[in-house]
Formats: sequence, structure tokens, C-alpha cells
Amino acid sequence: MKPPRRADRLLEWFCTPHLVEEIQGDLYERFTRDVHRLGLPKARQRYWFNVLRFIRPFALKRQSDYYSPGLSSSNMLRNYLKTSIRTLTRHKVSTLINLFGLTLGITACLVIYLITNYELSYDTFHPDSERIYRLVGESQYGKTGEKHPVGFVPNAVPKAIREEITGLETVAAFHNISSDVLIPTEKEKPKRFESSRHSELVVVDPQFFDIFRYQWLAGNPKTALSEPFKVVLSEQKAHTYFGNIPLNHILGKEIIYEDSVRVSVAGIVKEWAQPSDFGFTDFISFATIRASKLRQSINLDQWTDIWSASQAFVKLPQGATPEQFTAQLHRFGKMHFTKDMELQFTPALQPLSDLHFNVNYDDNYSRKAHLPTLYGLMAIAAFILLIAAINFINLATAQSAMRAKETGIRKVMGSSRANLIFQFLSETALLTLIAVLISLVLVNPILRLFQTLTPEGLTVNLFSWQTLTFLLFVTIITSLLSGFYPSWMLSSYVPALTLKGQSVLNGGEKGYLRKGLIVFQFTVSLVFIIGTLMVSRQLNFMRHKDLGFSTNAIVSIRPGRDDKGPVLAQKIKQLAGVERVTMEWFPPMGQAFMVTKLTYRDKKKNVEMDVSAKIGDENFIPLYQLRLLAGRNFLKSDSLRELVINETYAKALGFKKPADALNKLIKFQDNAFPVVGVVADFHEQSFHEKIGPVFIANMPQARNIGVKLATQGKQVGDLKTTLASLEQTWKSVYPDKKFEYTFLDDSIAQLYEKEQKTGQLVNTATAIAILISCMGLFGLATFTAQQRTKEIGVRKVLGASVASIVALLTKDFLKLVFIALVLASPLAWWAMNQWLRDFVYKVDLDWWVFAFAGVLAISIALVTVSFQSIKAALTNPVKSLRSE
Amino acid sequence: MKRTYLGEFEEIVLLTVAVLEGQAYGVALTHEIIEQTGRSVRLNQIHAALQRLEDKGMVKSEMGEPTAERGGRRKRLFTVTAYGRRTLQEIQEVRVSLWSRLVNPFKPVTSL
Repeated sequence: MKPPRRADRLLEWFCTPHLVEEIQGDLYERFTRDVHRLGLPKARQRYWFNVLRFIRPFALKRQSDYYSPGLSSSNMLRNYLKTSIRTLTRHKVSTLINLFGLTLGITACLVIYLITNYELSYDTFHPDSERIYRLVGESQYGKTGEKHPVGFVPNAVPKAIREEITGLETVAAFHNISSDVLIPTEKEKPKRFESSRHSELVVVDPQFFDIFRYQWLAGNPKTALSEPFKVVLSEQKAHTYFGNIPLNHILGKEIIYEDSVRVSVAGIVKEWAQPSDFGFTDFISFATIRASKLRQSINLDQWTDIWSASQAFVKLPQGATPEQFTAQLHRFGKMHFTKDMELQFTPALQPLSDLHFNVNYDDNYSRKAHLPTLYGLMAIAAFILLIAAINFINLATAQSAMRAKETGIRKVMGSSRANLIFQFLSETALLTLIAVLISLVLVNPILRLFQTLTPEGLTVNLFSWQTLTFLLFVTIITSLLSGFYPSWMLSSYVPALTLKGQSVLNGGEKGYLRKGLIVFQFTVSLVFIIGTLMVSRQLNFMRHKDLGFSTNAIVSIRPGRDDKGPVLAQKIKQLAGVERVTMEWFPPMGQAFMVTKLTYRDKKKNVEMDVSAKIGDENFIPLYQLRLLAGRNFLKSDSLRELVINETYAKALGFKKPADALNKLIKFQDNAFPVVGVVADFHEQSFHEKIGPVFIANMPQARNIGVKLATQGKQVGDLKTTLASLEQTWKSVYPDKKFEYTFLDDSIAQLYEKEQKTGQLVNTATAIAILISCMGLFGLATFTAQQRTKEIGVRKVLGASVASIVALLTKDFLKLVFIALVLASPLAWWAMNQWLRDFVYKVDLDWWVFAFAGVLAISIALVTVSFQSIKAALTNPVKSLRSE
Repeated sequence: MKRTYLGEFEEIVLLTVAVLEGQAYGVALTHEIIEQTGRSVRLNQIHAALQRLEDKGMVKSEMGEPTAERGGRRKRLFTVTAYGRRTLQEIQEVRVSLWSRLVNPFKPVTSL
């Protein structure tokens, strides 16, 4: 039998405090009587009415009778600003620590925001971009082959889809080509532009420009690409080819691709300013393919093979979903790729927004960003900012005792709690704002410093409205995050107590919150430390583990498709400083590898499996110092005669000892070849992949050259001269081509580019996290030491040793770091396990890594804290006790 | 003679406070007035009147003991101040003198 609670609350809310009790009492008495007389529902109803009747001037809460300026009156704002500046300058150490921490945090946030924003904005600017999809699919070679997602389609598919799939708005195919470009000039020799990257020249359907909108600067968008031998150029490319002449004069000029395909310029479009994976600059009309020699390399009627250069995009009509087409596309695949065909292919649609992130759908032009890394980056930014905010909270609450008097006076003078909170918050906001300004200055140098980590083509516009909104958002969040709790606490002091000089610490007297926050900071730092240790251990492992072959001083040269390669190899062999030369397809390990089907047949069974092919001449095995376990190297020959296989393959075929595999016949493309040797396993891909079956043989594909340079007793300078003579030899064979080479170590290191980047990132994050945490700890230690000056003085007078006092001051902090270690270990263990799962060959998560991280953190904390503790312990007690 | 104006309702409330002699608080006053005058009075009106009277200095109040019937809340008990008493007396005197000057005092109407 209670009166309605809400009504009571309402009353408490509007009624002036000194009347609440009696009114409530009276109403309650009334209510009890009403319940007896009228029953509960009616009584409750009356209670409500009675409460409402008290909404009358005499009972309403009154604004304070004093004159109290509003929160935002300009006088008060000026006062806040003034006191803020005064406090900030008075407590220089804590201000600097806070400013430093906040600046680091905000800079990290800003840099990471710029990077993630850039990556996430890829190709989002196209009109109707949500309706644009790429034709991708799932391919399978043979009946037993694995199914692979592919980001491209067989050449004949786009046209068939346009004709057979109903309900698609537009279908546009294109092909990436790479070729030297010739510009005919009046003089006899045309201007030559070296073959550019794969991502610039495309042969496109005219519909491409219906899907992707460009601004046309010259030419007619409707007809430009409808005929063969036409090309549309981007504005910049047009100027590169023809110099700075008016665009209209460029129309109709001739360009030659692939040495003989003459096309004329039919249009010029403006490049997109926003980030996009489509950096195409030369759009050759699709009709050119059938009309020129391009048809040799791009067979438009081909169903049975698939090339990454063959791309197609579709635009769905308004309101259509990709799921609507799944069944149709499935049927399409079933119909065109019959059971007896070598290639099985099922088309599918990939949203444009997925293009920049999905590594499964590969192609020749897009640069993939790793989404988990981006999310990881965001988390790192948030954590760093949080750590900085925690510093602020800790220092502010620790120093709050000093400001208790100020709060008391302000309250006595008539300040409301809201006023006080606003005042302290404005102090935080001022500090944050300064930090934001500093980080604005820092961003560009930092981005330059970390250029290797930032995505290619990152352009920074600090003053775009998006960035400014983000900064505003960060400023507000940071100010609230770091300022709200301290200001809430400070404003809660009861003036009567603080002005009397009584201790004002309440509730969190023992500083549980502060301790909790320090534990949090160090937990984050420790996770980062353990992460750094593990990532660098794994990187070290990958760098130094025996790969099963030699990578030292080996240079790869790729002469190209003509037949002058052997001539060049012969010439290189004769150079001084060259130890050995092999004609090969690719080095044992690298990004490129080929898998083919081999069959082994013995009395009982038939073993058919995918085997990776390493192709090279008889010098391949000795040059890379692959270890023969049994048998011999294959003999010199012009074509495939003999095979060498690796241990894994020998085992997979069922031979217990490598020597058992010798002289067995293995079938490759209808012919059987004898195994003459077995080599020890070596890594052919990154450590993410398991070592699989491999065979080594000589085949006509061996057109590239591997050169082992002599290193015995040589200096770095000698290496340079050898490289220079290599270049001379190259020029004598290929006068027109640029000499390019890669060191094998470098190309292997490139396999771990992502891991290297992760390593660098984690290192940086760790450094920042530790730095900020330590600054906070330092500030707190300074403060505790100051507060306990008297205590230390008394202890010293009573005979305490310096060591015992240092221990006293340090112990507390170390305990916190220890707790943090206990919390961080399982977290870090989980995170690192997650990361290491991607590797087949990896280091173990040893316990000593955690122990080492703990020792490291404890010693860092110890150094930070002991500086202050020792200083405090050494002060002469006379000084600290002299004045009261 | 200048004195604080007292409204009719206020006068009744003030008189009732005097009648209840130290036991005057919101609910008790309401009941008493309803009983004595027969008019419908609401709690909030009584409170408002008491508030005004206290502002004018005619009643003073103190908090009583908490009681269970009020959900453990205290009553505010009102008593008439000296100033209040004098005001009541003055009103009474004015009325008496006016009545005495009435030449043809009203007689209670009896059935003729």
C-alpha cells in the first residue's frame, strides 16, 4: 500500500526542498485515509491529483536568490579561461605531462584516422556506387581440382552474360594490357614510353563509361569508343604524350600500342580526384581487339581458360539486389561449363565496396587493404588516447586536494555545481585544444616519417570538413573523458569541510580508482610489449631460419620473352666476380610459383597430385645449394628428360627412404620421366604455407637468369663493380631496355612485407603506450612524494634508512604493475596466438617472453618512480619539518 | 492604522491554527476547516495559505516527531505568533465595533 512512486518523484523534483517533507507527509496521511475510504486505485489517483495541485508558485523550487551568472555568460567564461591558464602554468610538471600525453594520443588518433579514412573511402564516390558490382566467380580445373575464388572471368563470359542474364542494367568488360607506347612524330623515330604498370592501359567496352562516370574534357562520350582503333586518354596522360597543347588539338592524334596497333585519340577525360583503384589512363576501344593483332593475346571466344586481366563490371537496376541474380548466374555456369570441360566456372557478383579489401578476388590493378589491420589500428588509437586521458584523470584527482579550497570559496560565493563542473571541464578543453593544435602541426612530418607504413598515394587534407569534424569530435570526447570525473569529484566537495582544512578525500580515499586506472594503463602497455616481443621474434625466425637453400648474393634477372636470354646468360657467365649462372623460371622461393599435375603409378596404386614445379637448368640445384639426399642432379639437356623431387613428395608417394624413389617413373603431360635425385625440403612460399611436394626439372620456360656472385674475400665495392659489368653486358644484348635486377634476399623479404609493417606498427604503439604510461606514473610519483614530505621527514627523524623510504614509496606502484602483468598475460597470449595462427612455421609462445615483458615493465616503472622516491628520501628532514 | 491585509480564507486558517493549539498541521487543519465551515478545502490551498501567513509573520512553525501514519515523515506544527494574535484581535474589534453600530441588527429569520 504505497502511494505512486512516480508522483513522489515528481513532487521531489519540483518542490522546494524545505517543504517536501511536510507536504509528502500530509499527502501520505491523506492517502492512507483515502485507501480506507475509497480503495487503492482511487486513492492513488487522488494522490496524483493532489501532487499536481501543488504545482503552485509557493511550492516550486526557486532559483538561488543570489545573482548567479549563467554557465556561458561572457564574464564567467573569461574568468574560467583566466583561472585555467593560471592553474596550468602553476602546475608545470603535470601540465606538461598531460599535454605531452594528450598530444601523442591525439596525433596517433589523427594519423590513424587519416589512414583509415583514406582506405575506407576507396571508390565510394561513384554515383550509384552501391549498384556497381564486379563479375567474379569460382573456378575449378578438372574434376578433382580445388575450387578457387577468382576476381576475373573467362574472356567470353561478359558478352554472354549481357545477352543471357536478364535484368542487369549495364555490363562492361575490360582487359588490362601492358605495352610500350609509341607516339609518332614528324621526325623518323617515334617517341617511346616504356611499358607502364599493368594498371594504366585498358581495352574497354564503351559501357564502361556508363558505369563509371568521368568528366569529359574533349570528345563525345556517346561515340568515342564505339569504333575500333580509338582511344580515350586521361588529361594528364594526354599531356604526357603530347605536351602542353590544347586538348582539342590532341583529338585525332595517333598512338601506337604493342608496336603495331595504331589508334587515334577520340576523347579526353579528367582523372578522379578521390582515391580509387581504377587508375586507368588509356582506354582503348573494345572493338579494336577483333580488328587488330590484340586478338592473339585476348581471345574473346575463350571459355576454357581464365586470365586475371579479363575484368567485367555490371550495374544493377534501381532496387535490385545481387541475390536476385544468384540462381541465374548459377544456371549460366552450369550451362556453359559442361562436365567434360577443363575449366568449371560459376560467376558471382562482388560489390564495388568489397573490391579494395577482399584478397580472395585478385586482379591486376587494385591494391588491397587489410581490413583487420585497419580495425586494429583504430583500436590502437583508441587505447593510446584512453591511456592519455587516464593520465589526466589520475593527476587531476591526485591534485584535487590542492584545489579543494578554491572549490570551497567558489561555492561559498554562490557557484552552483554545474558552474564548477563547467569550469573544470573548460580547463580540460583548453588543454585538449592546445594538444589538437600541436598535433595538427605534427601530423605531416609524422606521416613523412612513417611513409613506409602509410598506404600508397595517401593525400592529406587537414582542413577538409571531415577532418575538422573528426577533430572536434576527438576534442569533445577527450575533454569529457578526461575531465568529467575529476570535475565531478572536485565539485562535490562540501565547502564547510574543505575551508576548515579537513581532509577532503572521500569514497575513493584509498585511490582505488586511480590504482585501477594505472593497472589498466600498464595492462595495455604490457600487452603491447608482449606483442612487440613476439612479432619481432617471429620476424627474426623467418629471417634466420634455414630455408633449405642459399639466398646469399644471388641476383635474379628477367630478360623477357625473346630468345636472346641464353646469349645474355652465356656472356654473364664469363664475367669476373660471377660464380655460377642458371637459366631458370623463378628462384626456389618467391611470390610466383606454378602447380601442375603429376601421376605416379606402381603395381598397386595410382597417385595423382598437384606438385609445385621448379624449373631450371642443370646449374639450378648447385647454384641454390639445394641438398641432395639421394641420387644426383639432372644432366645437362635442352628439354625435360629427368626429374628431381623433394623429400615431401617422395614421402607422399609412399617411399620410406628417399633413395627408394630413385629411378621410378613419374608421368607428366602424357610422358613418363625418371626420378634421378631427391633433395631435402626447402621453403618455396612464405612461412604461412606448408612445404608441399615439389619437383625440379629443366623445361623451356627457363628463360630468366639467376646469377650467383662470388663473395669469397670480396668487399661491398666489388659487388658494385660486378653489378655494373652485369649492366654493361645487358646493354650489349638489349640496347633499348632498362637493366633491372632483384636480390633474392630482398624478394624473399618482400613476402613478409605485411609482417614487417605490423612489426613496425606494434613497435611504435608500444613505445607511445609505455611513454605515456610512464609519464603518468612519474607525475603521480612526484605528487605522492610531495604529499608525504612530512611523513618522510618524521620517519627519517625516527631513524628510517633511505632505502626503506624508497622501498615504501615504490612498493605501491610496483604492486600495481604486477597486477597488470597478471591481467595482461592471458590477453596477450590470446592475441598473439591469434596472430601466429596464420603461420605454419612459427615460434612458440614461451613463458619467458611474458616474464621478460614483466621484468621490463617493472624495471621501467621502477626507474620512473624511484627517481622521485630517491629524491624525496634524500631530502633533509629539517627542511620538510621546519615550517608548519 | 496600517496593518497587513489578511484575506478571508487566511483569517479562517489563522483562527483554526489558534483553535488547534499547537496541533495544527496541514491535514488536521484541512479536516477541522471542512468540519467547521462545511466548505470544500484542498490540501494545497491550506499549505499555500500557511505559507503566506508564515511569510507575513503571523504563524511560526517547527517540525514535530516523525510518525508511522505519515510514512515516517515529520509534521510541521504551526502556532500563532503574537503578531498574528494581535491581528486577529484587531479584526475582531473592527467587526465588533461595526456590529455594535448596526441600528437594526439582523434577527434570525423565524417562521412567521
